[in-house]
Amino acid sequence: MSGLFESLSTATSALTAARLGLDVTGQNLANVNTVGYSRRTLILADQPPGDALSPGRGVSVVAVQAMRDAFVNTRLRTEITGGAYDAAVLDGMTEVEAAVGLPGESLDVEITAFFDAFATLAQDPTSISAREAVIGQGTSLSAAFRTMTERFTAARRNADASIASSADEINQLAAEVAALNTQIVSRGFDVESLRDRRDVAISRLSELGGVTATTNAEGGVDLAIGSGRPLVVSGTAYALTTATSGPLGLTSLSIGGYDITGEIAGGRIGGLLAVRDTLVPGYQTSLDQMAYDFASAINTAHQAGFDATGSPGGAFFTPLAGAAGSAAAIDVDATLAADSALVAASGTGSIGDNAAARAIAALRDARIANGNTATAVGAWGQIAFRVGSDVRGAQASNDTHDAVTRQLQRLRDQTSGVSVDEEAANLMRFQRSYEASARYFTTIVDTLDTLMNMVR
Amino acid sequence: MTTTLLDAVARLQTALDTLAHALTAGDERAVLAAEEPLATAVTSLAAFRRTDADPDPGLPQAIAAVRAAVSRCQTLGGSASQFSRAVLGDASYSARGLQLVNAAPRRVTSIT
Repeated sequence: MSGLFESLSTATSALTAARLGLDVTGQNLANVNTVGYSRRTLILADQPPGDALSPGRGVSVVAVQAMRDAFVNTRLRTEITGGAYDAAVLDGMTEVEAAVGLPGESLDVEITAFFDAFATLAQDPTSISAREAVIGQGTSLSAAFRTMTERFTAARRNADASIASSADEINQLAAEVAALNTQIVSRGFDVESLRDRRDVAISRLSELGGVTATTNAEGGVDLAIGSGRPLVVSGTAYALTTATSGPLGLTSLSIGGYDITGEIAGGRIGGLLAVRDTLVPGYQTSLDQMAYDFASAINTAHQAGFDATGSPGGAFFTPLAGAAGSAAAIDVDATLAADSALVAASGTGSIGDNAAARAIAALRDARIANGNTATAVGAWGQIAFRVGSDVRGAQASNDTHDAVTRQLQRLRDQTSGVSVDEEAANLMRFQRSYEASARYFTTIVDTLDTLMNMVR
Repeated sequence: MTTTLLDAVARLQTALDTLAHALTAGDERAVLAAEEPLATAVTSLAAFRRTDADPDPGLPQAIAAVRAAVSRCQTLGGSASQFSRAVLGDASYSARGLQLVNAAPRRVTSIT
């Protein structure tokens, strides 16, 4: 039978539990705006009775539990990594899109003006001012090609600068995670705040470099970057080193002596690398090809004509060795630029004939670019369309990642403070509601395919 | 007033955007409410025939936007499904809606 002291002890244990419960609640409320804070709950257990006639000896506090959902945290990190990639691509591509400009306000205007100058020359092939205008427009168009190349290069350099600074931040965060691992493992108790801090650092690392995290047996978290290269192993952080290489002095990333630049395909650095090494170089290659095709076609037509002295025409643009680097190298031939009489307007060699000027002006509508599949303006339009399409794609992907992140955060918040039964019912309702709409998706996709065939 | 193909595609886009917004908000009532306008928009679009083709130059872009909206809804729906499975377990409720005893517990990674 329980005595008076046992009753007092029972009451005391209940008071202790209640006080701790208030402490935990207060801790949760105080940290409601703390980034990465995991909600704490008190785990209580009843004290077994001292004898058969005793109802029990009250309640004891077993543990303070931090509510962390491994799945949601992992999913959120995945979305954060993808979102950061898209945001970086979007940042870089927005700069490129601004450089490319709108149709009718960019390189296409210079191309049109160049052909207009030859059309004007065709109307009066002996006009010195018309000849000077042709050279002037050729020089202006060449400068426009070079400026566009400089803008593309600038976009690559800007992405590169961000890569270098992001690598520095990765090293700081990796060192922080390694130090926290050591503290968490060595302390063994009362480490929830340290774990929260570590989670925040890992989330930021995921955002920067798409790292993968694995919890080890001691309670530490090991991190890998690129193709599984160790970044943090227990209490040791491996530094990401940067070096510059190539004619542009672009940053390469190494860890443990391995170049992992090509391995990072996620996070902000992955997005910046995509802009720097894939997207913008792709546009540059197209621009180079376009400049090469354009200069070659004009030179061929110009060399088929005769200048004002009756001599066969020379190259209008300085001959280019190949497509690579053409947009940066294109320029009006220096000898021709110094003497407008060398512009070939005549098709026969007789003064006043305009066949060559007309032939060059007619190239405006000829498919001279991209393997004779596009006009010069059309080829530029294709580049501009690709840039715009890539920007819209990055925007849409970024919006989706952002939406999924918000969705997961909201679902997590909704399921953190209610009973398991209630959250289960809510989730099931949510799923069923979605499925009601999802059954239309196949129909929509099929219908869109049909529609595309109709409008093509 | 005649509904053009572009109008129908635009309505479908609006319906999908509404669904995506509801999915993002995690609000099951809003998700359910989004179903009816989506059904109406799909039915309206499916009624068009090849002869109704409206060579509106903006149509390919509008179709691309709808494709992106469908993809977005599918991603959000997939994400919610994964979340549900993780919280509920694959068979946490029986066909009658009763919670199974061996339902997957909530995942808690640390206890101190």
